[in-house]
Amino acid sequence: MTRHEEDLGAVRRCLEHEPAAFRELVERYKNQIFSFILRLVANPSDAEDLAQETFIKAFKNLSSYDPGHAFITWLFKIAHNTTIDFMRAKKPGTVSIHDEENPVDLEEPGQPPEGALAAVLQAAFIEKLLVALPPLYKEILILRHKEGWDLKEISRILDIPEGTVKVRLFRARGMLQQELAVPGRGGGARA
Amino acid sequence: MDCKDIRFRLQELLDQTLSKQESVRVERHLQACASCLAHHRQLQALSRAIAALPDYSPSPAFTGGVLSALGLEEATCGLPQWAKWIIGSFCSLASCGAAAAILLALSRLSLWQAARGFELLSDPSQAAVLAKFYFLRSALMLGDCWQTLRAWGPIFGPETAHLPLESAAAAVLAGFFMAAVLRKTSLGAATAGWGTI
Repeated sequence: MTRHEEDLGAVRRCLEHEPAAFRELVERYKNQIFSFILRLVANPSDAEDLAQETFIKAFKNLSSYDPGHAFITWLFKIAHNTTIDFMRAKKPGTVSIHDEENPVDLEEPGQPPEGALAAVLQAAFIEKLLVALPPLYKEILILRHKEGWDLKEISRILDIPEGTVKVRLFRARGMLQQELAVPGRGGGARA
Repeated sequence: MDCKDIRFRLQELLDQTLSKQESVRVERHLQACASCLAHHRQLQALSRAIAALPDYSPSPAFTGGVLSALGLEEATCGLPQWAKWIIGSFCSLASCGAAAAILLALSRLSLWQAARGFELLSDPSQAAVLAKFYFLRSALMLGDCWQTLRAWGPIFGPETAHLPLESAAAAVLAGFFMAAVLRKTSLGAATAGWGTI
């Protein structure tokens, strides 16, 4: 039985006669959802609250879940919306979903310092680089590379056109490479 | 195709959205351009590094918090699952025994009081009324016991949620047993109405 079939079985049981089957889905995806939100808000307590809110919203709207798509992408969509709402409420104006309209001019990234390529393989260093990025760019990098979703699925989760996903990814990677090229970042990681 | 164009294509190559023909052109360029090759390797390394990032776990109370907020599960005292199962089973057995013993004692008390009423009143019909009264009082007391048992459930979580149900079932069985025994005793006349109470 595939993961998708297991999820569908649990969802069906929840909707029919066994709401406690939702525990199965929470246990299966809590780490993924919590980690995703934690990387966006950078605060474990807020991340836990938002992750709980995500699952609560999912349960309450379970009847609107489309079984044609993976349950986890639907869950990520809820997590994304919940987190963006939270960040907007916390710091109004700091999170825009239309950054593409006011693009940041990216300089052509220079060559990384000697040894920086090996350094980026360290998780702590990558986390540090991600923290420096705006949430929208951080988020798209996580969805693409950490979760491994293709552009179509990301476009569904973020509710934006595939072209926008592509552009946002291009900028996000450019920013990451710029961060890497900054002396003391890539080079500093060698120390 | 210049290097600037290739840099964009490299991202498409990474996202597997490039046509086969374009992929070949980009790969040909990479063989001839050390700068673009370094850029490409850096992109690949970043992609792999992000993919290898670990997942973090929320607090152990996370799932309980979600289920509790949804009303799917009571907040628990945090004991391990196996401990809650053992405690729950023990409490269930103990409560069944206690409920049966309470009913038995109360029924005997009612019987004794009804029998005394029969002697004092020397009127079988009045004694039966008195027996019904005492049994009703016993049932009310048993209801109180049941309420107490119900309060035990949330203490140990869902594993003991069945506890009041089992107690009630045991009490009903004990009641039927008592009624059957009483009908066969010499005091059957005094408690004739019990079976229909």
